Amino acid sequence: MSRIDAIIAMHSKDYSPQEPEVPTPILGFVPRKMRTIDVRGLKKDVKSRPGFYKDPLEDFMHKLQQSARLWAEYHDMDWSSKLQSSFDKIWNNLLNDEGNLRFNCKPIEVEDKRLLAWNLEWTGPGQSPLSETDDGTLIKAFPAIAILLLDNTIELIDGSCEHFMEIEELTTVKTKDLLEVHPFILHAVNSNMPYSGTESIQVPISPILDIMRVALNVDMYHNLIEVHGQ
Amino acid sequence: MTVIERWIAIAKENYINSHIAEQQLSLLTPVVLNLQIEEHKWYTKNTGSSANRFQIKPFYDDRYKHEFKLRNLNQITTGSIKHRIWIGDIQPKFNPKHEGHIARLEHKLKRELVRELAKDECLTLQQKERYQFVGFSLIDVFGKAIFNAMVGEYNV
Repeated sequence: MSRIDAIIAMHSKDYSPQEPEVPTPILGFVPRKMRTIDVRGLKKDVKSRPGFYKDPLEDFMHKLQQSARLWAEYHDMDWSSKLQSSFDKIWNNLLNDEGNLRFNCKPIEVEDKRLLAWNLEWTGPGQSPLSETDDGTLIKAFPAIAILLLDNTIELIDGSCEHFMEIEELTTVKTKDLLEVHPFILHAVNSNMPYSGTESIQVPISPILDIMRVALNVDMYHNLIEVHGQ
Repeated sequence: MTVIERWIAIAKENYINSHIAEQQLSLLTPVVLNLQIEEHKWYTKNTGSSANRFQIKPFYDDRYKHEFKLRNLNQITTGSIKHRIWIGDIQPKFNPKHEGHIARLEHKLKRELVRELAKDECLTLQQKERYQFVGFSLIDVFGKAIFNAMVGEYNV
């Protein structure tokens, strides 16, 4: 449609804006059947395997393959060589010429032990993939801060919510916005945007959320943020 | 009744449905899923059977008895009755082209379900957890049915 046609269509009320396109999943699939561990179990796991959480991208391609198999199982598909090779083609885009991942993930030192946080950066080559925010706006997925909550409760009565205050400091996103957009224990927030608040919070399909779900082998929806004492 | 209230209602109907198990959903089939009564007559099943005449049209094609399937994507995309019943304003222009579109729908449905449950002051925490579990399981089944229909049409 030409510009002039669009203007005429708008004036004749024939115009309905296109719904924004959702980016395709960066891994070629949406992680399914990941670990449905509860918060208590998660805390124990962090204690017993600190290395796993310190460097989530270690052995990432192997984790990716395992997750893709689970995805195929979820959708009742056989893990065929055809499926494997089509995923291999997509996963090649995650690697640079030296065969290293085109992004990195470094842990952030946090004061409150009820959360884990990582900085994710796109090292390239190429442009950072896009992610979507709640209103359908597309933003660059990287650089981002990913947060995993090890305590999913906010106690309004005794004010026990320091872990959420630290998330606010790290991400400059207000807790109420986070609860509104993505009330689950795994978060991804763009950390280098002229935007703030809800416009920086990534929702599925987010490359960061997908990568972290695979890297940590954790189901995002299994644990909700709970607000007590409302 | 809003879309989310319908999802809550179907979760309520299946609150004690033992086929919705903790670990896996392979026991669940259209035959054993309970459907709620719908007041809106356009949204009820088109059947002569008095047993289920007032039941809601399900989010799958119930001509398939043993698996949750849709005959084609048109059954659930914008403009269809099933879209009005089960998606509506949550994703007004739903026309999935890849799994990302379905995942976004699942996310929105789950989030709205959580919000709706949080508003209900009559339910205990345990009841809310069960409603949420059943609701999430059914939304997963819904997403799978859409995905399978999409795979059939686009060969993705």
